[in-house]
Amino acid sequence: MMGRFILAILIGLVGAGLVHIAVVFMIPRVSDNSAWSRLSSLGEYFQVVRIAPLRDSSSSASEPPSETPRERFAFADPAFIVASCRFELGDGPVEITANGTIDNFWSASIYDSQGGNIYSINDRAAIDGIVNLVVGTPQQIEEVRATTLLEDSPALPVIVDVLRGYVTVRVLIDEESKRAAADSFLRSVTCLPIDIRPTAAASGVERDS
Amino acid sequence: MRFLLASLLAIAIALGLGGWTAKLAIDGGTNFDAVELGPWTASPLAGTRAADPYAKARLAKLAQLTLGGGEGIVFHAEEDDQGRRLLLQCSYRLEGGTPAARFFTLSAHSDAGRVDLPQAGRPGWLTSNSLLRKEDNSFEIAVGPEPRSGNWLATNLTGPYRLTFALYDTPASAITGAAGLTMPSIQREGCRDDG
Repeated sequence: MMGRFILAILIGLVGAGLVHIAVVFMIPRVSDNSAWSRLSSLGEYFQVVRIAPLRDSSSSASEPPSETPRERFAFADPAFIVASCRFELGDGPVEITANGTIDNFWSASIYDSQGGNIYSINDRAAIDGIVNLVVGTPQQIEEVRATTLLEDSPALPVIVDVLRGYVTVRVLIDEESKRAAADSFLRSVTCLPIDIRPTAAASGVERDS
Repeated sequence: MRFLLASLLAIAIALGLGGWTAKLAIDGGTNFDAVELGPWTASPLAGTRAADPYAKARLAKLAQLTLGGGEGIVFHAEEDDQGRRLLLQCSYRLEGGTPAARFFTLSAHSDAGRVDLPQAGRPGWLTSNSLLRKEDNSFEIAVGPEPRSGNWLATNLTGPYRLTFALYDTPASAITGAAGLTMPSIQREGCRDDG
């Protein structure tokens, strides 16, 4: 009688270990609150959306937040405004650009769909301080390089080993007077798949000749 | 009947204990890779693919966008230099310098990651670009509910919180140890409703 219950407790403890491990590994796959899930509910692929800091509900009285709860992310830096878009590389590489340059610090990151940071860059590391990234699989970047697309262009090729992910572009607002300029800069951010097929075919012809 | 009871017991222990410890470990944070500089802690691996499974699960639950190595690194402090939990109703003095970085920002967050914004017109975050510094380039920042001259980060309400110190465009992103890096000290100066 006692032996059976001790055995049951032992089996339970072993089972607890397995459940513990299973839960920890399952959460990134099933969480509906991951950055990917949230961004999915905010917009389609290639749609640029805004991200805001998760706020204290009590402060909304003095400063009513204009954004919806889904746009608010945890531990976001309130000194920044952030734009983001999800991409998928099934139809070719994706190009992320913004119009012109801005004096404020900006940085961009590329994440895989589980939130792992794959690539990041800031304004000083970018060519001429311009936001222009061409993100693709190794083969796609190879094809882009074979075209004239990257010649005389500030575009930075970024090779990733995933087929979908998301990009963030952050702009610092160190003085309130800079908010309007930073805001319009972020509004000019585009995130679009580029069609390399015709030119890729042309480079194929070149190789034949 | 006894067999059924024993099986139920085993299943209850497995699910209950397994789920509970998983939640505890994920919410509490494991910080296997933590870099500690005084009261400040950073997890350089959090948000990268090399992060441990607990950090990955935590990230998926929080909807947090971590900074990449080319962007910067974030330090959090939950306690002052004496090891007391940071409280919104208390005043603190941050003093010292930071690892080399283009600039930094200082803000206050709840444990769940909500930004603590004070009443309108009060500074809810600081950036180093508008910071007053001393002759030796070090700085002093007052954090608390009472208005201060100089560098002041205002807090609101009461309860525990954490200070978030984000360094941008810094070689410290690649730190694996605390060697040679300094962060400001955090001294408690007094509390509003201490009692």
